[in-house]
Amino acid sequence: MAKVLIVDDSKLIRNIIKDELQKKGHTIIAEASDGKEGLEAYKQHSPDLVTMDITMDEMDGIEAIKQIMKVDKTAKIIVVSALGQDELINTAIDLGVVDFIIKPFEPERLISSVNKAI
Amino acid sequence: MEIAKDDFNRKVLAAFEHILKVLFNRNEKESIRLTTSGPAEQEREIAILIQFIGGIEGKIILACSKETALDIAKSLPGFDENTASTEAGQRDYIKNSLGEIMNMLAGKIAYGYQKDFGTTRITTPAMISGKLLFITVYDEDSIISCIKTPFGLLEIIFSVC
Repeated sequence: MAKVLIVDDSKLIRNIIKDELQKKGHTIIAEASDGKEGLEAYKQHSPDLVTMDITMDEMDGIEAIKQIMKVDKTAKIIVVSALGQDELINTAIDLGVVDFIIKPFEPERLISSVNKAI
Repeated sequence: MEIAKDDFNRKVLAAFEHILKVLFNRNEKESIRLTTSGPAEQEREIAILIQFIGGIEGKIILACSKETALDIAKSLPGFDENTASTEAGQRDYIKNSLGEIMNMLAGKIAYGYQKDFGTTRITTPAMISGKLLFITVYDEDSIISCIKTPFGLLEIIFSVC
């Protein structure tokens, strides 16, 4: 079971991810509503896995992934974004994310991605 | 940049149907089938706006009544009657719910047109609420769609910059 950090500016999506992961026995170690908070939470909690949104106000997901990877090259990050364009997916994969999930997603898609990542 | 109205409406309807089905089937709601309708004759009390930047340059607005917005918010995971008993709590739920639905819709539109126009970024959703919101569209190329949902009518206004 994994300790998970959820980074998303939408409380609705944080709730959905939290519910689905908790049902499978994972622990939500922290939640953040933008990339800056997410980076701080990562440094503080060292989670096993991060779910990361892309479009956020304070620091977007791509920048947050870059910053987290600077702190920990082995960080496991799953992008969960409404934007699923090829260029963005390629950028995220080049940065080292383990998967890219496009919103809205079926719960099975999230669980399968988390299981593969850990 | 030219976007055909029929093609846009098809994309919006398909995208909305997919979004609502995934979100609400999670709550074991009945399957959702959407249709377009004529102009909405209802009070606009909520408007959610997202801007497209890059391949597509423009704005998309979702407008509806507060009742419709609240019905949608209440049907999504995490709704708490106590928190939503205040005006501020209701606004928060509506912004969260409709904002995220619009985020998903804008993402799907950007994806749907990436072959034609390239990569498009979207802004975070902004919400305006009030009584009798009046939206004037000056651009002749603007597209206005009205979608019938189980929660009520949703107007989608797309304006190219």
